[in-house]
Amino acid sequence: MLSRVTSTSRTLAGALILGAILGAFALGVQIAEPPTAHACAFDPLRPAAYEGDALRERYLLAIDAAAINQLFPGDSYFGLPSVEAGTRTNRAAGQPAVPVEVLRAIGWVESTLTMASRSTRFESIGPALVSFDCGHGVMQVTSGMTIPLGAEGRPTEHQTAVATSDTHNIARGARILASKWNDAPGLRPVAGTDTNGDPTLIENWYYAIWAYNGFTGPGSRQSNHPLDPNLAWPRPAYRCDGTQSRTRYPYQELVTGCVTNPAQRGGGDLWAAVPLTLPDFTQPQFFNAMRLASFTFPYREMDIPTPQPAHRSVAPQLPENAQLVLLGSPQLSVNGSSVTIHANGTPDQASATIRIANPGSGLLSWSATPSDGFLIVDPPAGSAAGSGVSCTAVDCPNGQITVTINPTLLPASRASGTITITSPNAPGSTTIRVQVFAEFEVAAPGTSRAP
Amino acid sequence: MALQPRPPRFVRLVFASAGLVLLVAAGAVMATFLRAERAAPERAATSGPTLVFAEFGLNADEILVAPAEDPEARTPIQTIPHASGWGLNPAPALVAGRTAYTVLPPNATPSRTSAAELWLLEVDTTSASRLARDADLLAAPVLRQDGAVLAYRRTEDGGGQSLLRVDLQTRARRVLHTDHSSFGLFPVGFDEGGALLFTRLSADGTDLMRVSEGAAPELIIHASDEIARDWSVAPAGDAVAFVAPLLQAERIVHQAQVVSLRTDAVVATTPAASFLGEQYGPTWRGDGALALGREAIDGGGVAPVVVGTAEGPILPAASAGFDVPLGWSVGGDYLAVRHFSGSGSQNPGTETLVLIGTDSSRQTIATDTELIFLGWTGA
Repeated sequence: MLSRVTSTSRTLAGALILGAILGAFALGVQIAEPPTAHACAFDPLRPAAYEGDALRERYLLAIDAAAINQLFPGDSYFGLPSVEAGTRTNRAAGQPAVPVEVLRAIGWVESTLTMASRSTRFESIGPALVSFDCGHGVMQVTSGMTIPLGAEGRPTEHQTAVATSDTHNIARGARILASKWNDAPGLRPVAGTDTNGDPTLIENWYYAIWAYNGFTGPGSRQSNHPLDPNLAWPRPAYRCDGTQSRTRYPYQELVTGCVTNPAQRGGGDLWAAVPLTLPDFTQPQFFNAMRLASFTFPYREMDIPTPQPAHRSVAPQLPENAQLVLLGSPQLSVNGSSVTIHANGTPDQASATIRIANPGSGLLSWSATPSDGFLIVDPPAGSAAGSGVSCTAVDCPNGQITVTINPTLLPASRASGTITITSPNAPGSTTIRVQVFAEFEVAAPGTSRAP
Repeated sequence: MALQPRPPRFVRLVFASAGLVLLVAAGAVMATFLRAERAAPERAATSGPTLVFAEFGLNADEILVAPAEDPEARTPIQTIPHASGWGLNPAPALVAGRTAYTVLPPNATPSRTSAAELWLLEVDTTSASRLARDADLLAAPVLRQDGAVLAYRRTEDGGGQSLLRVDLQTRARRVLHTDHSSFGLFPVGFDEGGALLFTRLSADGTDLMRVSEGAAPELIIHASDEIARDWSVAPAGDAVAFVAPLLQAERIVHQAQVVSLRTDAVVATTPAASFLGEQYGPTWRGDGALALGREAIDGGGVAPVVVGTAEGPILPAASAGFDVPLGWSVGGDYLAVRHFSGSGSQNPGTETLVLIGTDSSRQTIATDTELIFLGWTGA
């Protein structure tokens, strides 16, 4: 009887599924179109990343360090450049520092300070946060992440680090912000004409923040122009608490709103509030800068004085062990030296698993590069937590790669290849030999069954 | 393994018939889902004006209706899921019981650069249907006065923007105009002849234009050398009001102007000129009167002024702050406004949605999150 019911249920279930599909088409349904995809550094796969604690203490500490160039000083990709000071006529190199208050708020607006996708639990490893336009991680770094930039169409070490390492991601975001500041006066307007373009005054970062999201003019789809007719006017300050739609605000007001009204978690503010001043567009010196006629390269007419009262950034005081906590000393360790795949075997045999551990400290970033096109490694890059990094989920603290094959690219029914695992922040590399047995007839032209 | 006997033929027939019925039902359900139409329980009918608005939610907005005489008696009629943080952007007003809005779907990248969906909401039936997936989120769609046609904006892949006309009966879409050289195009509404009114921003300022299907766009008036905003078409489609900036007592203020669409000229005596200071949100009433918000120059509360009729009602002011008009109820008994607790643009304070009655009442719509005005139904 049990068997009969089961059999009938299967019949019914099958009929239902088929009927649903047929019925849908019979009624002229327009199937939802797939969204248009951008090509990102790791497409079509997604790297894995470590997600920090719920109170964002790790990320906020990393932001503190990045803001004063204490993560990767001197690194031409992840370190801060000199941040220039001065007006159009006396611009000069200054200290490598960005306002930590701004960096925190940008991180919140971009990702709510998260490195992995929303499905990933705190203090665990899961799919990295990658937006549809290739924004990666906490700072939603897009620059340099839209296509693979390495040899043979593979991601570079820099791209791996941005996608899988929170500290590198945050440091890169800080550097991009600094570069937006330094774009003035050649490419962008100057804020702070009356304060010698002082970068320690947070209000002077108005244009740099605007440019972090795109220095877009009025009327464009991605407009951040504060007087754009599509944006509500007047508008109350952005409260950064999830109760207001972002639709009504230019990007720079989202960020300054979050500086003024800190995000909250665990019943408290995540950072100290600073009541920033926005440009007063009832005053001609600010209004004229936003005139349509002023929005012309190199935007000389958009130079503005410092909105007053202005607020000076407070350089963070890092704990002595900040570098150790944030960067540690990761080590790359991979289990085994070879794996075997039986392409037409059981599901367990049709794939292989490689585990990557970090017996050192801090967060290890890794990437896996297959030698041949028939080898698929997923994820192609990821993280592994070492000592000092809390990782509490079941799949912690190790990284894990699943290796499968693309049978259409197999050269023969018996093939071999390698997977090389490297790290942008740990020495050494490991090569895993992969043996593939595929007893079916392969379809590649010019090949035949193995003898 | 022992073989199990097959069920009798009639039993199989019964199951097969049941399967067929369920099959069709499931297909219809799936079809409804995939058609991207949303329906919600109907609401109780009310005789007076009914406010339609949305309550912003981080991942979904809830559309509610509430009678003007008791705005706390709200009825949810639809839930609009959206990309996290980005609420819907509605047409300026409800027309013939329907409105349209742009919204980022939940699976879109939460960014203003993402392509938005365009939806039509029928308030009476509470159903919503998707019209397009290529809209610009920030550019609100506009409906023709009879509610049969709407226009929206999209950004083309190669740059440039297009204004599209959608026939809501046939759902046919036509590109009315594409522009590659301006800062942006902004749909404003329709004139009495059914032509689309829009503004064009360029380095020279703001131009008011009109375009009809198959015809080249024509300039109505150069509205300002600056960014003119808050455009509002008169109910008869024969005039347009807007605000444009000017220098007044060493301050930049926006002041209202009215353009006749019959003479294509600014009305000689703009009725708002006698009110100094910043003006906001010109909003037409059914009889051709115009409500204007004003900044609170002297510190006390300032209500909108109603101009354009011999006996404009004196609307009650709050004890502090100022109001930005949103829309009159159909009979003109209520004016929905955004009330700000501050004094003006630079210091707006907090914002609330308030209904001002011509009977001198002011009712605040209580909420924990932002409210988005959609319009009015009813008498």
